[in-house]
Amino acid sequence: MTIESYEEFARQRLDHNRQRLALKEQQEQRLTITHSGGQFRITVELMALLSTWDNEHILYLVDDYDNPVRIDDPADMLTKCKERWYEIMNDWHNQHEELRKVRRVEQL
Amino acid sequence: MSKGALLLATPHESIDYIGFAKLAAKLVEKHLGVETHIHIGEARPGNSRPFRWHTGEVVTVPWYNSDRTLAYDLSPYDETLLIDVDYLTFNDNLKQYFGSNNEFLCYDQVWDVTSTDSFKHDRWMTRAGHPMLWATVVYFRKCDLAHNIFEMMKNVQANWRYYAKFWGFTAGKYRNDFSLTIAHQLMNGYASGIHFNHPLASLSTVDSIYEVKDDELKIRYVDGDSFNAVKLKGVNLHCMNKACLQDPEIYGALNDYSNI
Repeated sequence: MTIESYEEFARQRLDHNRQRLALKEQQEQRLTITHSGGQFRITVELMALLSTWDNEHILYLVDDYDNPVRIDDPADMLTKCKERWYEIMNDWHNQHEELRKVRRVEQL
Repeated sequence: MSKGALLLATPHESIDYIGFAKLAAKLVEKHLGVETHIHIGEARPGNSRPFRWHTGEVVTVPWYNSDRTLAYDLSPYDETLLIDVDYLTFNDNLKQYFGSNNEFLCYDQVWDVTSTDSFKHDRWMTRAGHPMLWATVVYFRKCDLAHNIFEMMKNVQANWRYYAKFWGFTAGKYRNDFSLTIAHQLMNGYASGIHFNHPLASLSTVDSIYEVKDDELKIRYVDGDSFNAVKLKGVNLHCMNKACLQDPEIYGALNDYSNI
């Protein structure tokens, strides 16, 4: 390989990484949910907490804007989180796969 | 509680701000499902701004941006999303702010969608490094905090030279981002308040949208001494390149999409 081809390879990697970063940023922005007046970033930790919480105890969570929020129905919140998670991650995965298949970003 | 988006547009000699406002409003209605209100303001001369377009051309045009401080008075809604006419909505992300506990939100971070750090000079607004807030998209409800922030913005606008000297920035053209930053800081008790929990996706004036296919945008950007491309799908975008938005092909495609 010539130094030019290494340079071309490096450039393609940079382009790929930029596109991956753009994809990550755009999808992460959508991974949020509003519930009981609060706004929350959907994370695996949040969903794990919600799925293990027994409904006999009141659940308070701190939202993204540092407000303590009383969650009246954790099961409902979990359902909404899962729906949103699936929607976003499915979209993210599909676009990521599309990106993975192409050598050059221009082929997208 | 009434809710909706407010867009402020002014007739302009070379930039079709009213056309942009109509497009931005339709995209809001499509994705957020809320009412929109376009306020057509009066073109008050005095401010101007140079734009460097993607073609390399640099033009200095009048800049009619003085109505923004009136947004609180002009808004017919209890909860308002105030957006720039060059802000294109492609998802329902901002919908969730209606009905939330927040009183006033704006952006404190910008994301250059080309990952080339085009906005590095806009992170801070003063020589001392005070972080700059963006007035591009503002959520507010009718409340004391929002009222006072807009009233304070009017005060900053009216005493622009004083505030420039006091805060330590060049008192050139009046800029809403600066007056919002000052008012926001003061009305939050000399402290930073709360902001949107994600950065403002933006495209600089030298980069352009070169293809639109539904909610998918292909972006051409300056990369060193050549050009490169990136694809965005379903991303709300602050498109600062008015020249590319004005391109009949791009505007037409966006308009067709907004009508679906």
